[in-house]
Amino acid sequence: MPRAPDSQRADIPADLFESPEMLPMHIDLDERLIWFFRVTKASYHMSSFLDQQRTVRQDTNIYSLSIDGLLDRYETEAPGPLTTHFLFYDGYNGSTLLARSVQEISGCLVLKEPRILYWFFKQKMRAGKVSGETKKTI
Amino acid sequence: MLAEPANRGLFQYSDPTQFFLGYLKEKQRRKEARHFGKEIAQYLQTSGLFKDRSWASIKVEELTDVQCVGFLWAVYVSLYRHFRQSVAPCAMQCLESEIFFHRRPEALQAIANFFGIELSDAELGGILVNPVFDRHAKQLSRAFDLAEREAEYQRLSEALKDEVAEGLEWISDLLGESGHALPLPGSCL
Repeated sequence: MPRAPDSQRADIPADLFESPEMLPMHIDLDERLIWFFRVTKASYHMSSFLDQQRTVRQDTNIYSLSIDGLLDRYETEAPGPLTTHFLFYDGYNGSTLLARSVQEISGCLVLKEPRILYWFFKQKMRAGKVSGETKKTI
Repeated sequence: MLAEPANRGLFQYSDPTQFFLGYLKEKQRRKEARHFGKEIAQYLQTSGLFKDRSWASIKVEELTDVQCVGFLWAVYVSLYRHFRQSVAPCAMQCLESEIFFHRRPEALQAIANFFGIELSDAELGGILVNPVFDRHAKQLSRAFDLAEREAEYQRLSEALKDEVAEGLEWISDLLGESGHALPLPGSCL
């Protein structure tokens, strides 16, 4: 993910763990930063995919937080476990329509292909090449 | 992710013929299949999953487009079976995509039940008449019509029949050794 110009960078709001508005988009391990887009509920509904190009964002800012800062805040601010369900699919079979259907059910927030999951997958793959310890799960 | 007791996973899949048509219909999708194939082959080799099966060490660069798409389908259904049987036996079900298209009310209710989400008849009825479902899911500016989709797939079935036949035979050869036949276990409908 390209580095954002300083004029577009903004601070993370206080309600990071209480609201889904801050969508993690990329982790920069060299800078130890996590990058977020701000996304409203309506934007989640409209977005077909939650990647850099296709996420409908509330503004053009890229919000960032240090990984260490995030972990510190998580210790004291983390909410309890939330129930999460997963829709897996094999491609070009109406899965986006299915996701759009489920997001219409009250109380459901559907994250369509959040790019950050792919980032974690790629990291696991890289780690798998040098260590056998991560080899059993995606 | 599925280790939490309340979490659930649903695998929406296509029968292999539909899968071939979906990927072989456009040059760009064939390229995507090749890209996904390379990534998933790398994943299989890195993870060691299915290492007792000959296709786990397949070289995607050496496959034709048809073989590559068949490889993808075979791996997807094998991964589903693996995760359902070995990782989350009670937390995964599957749904065939054509069932979703043609029996959407039942499918949505079954999914809600499986996920433990309350969905009344009134709410379901409201969802089904939502205008968003008359639009193309990935491009909301385009209209979507199920009859048109079916007509297109009918046309594709004829245009791609030789490649699909070759692909089905390829899948059969690939999976024959491990006895993976449809239907998949644990369908929610």
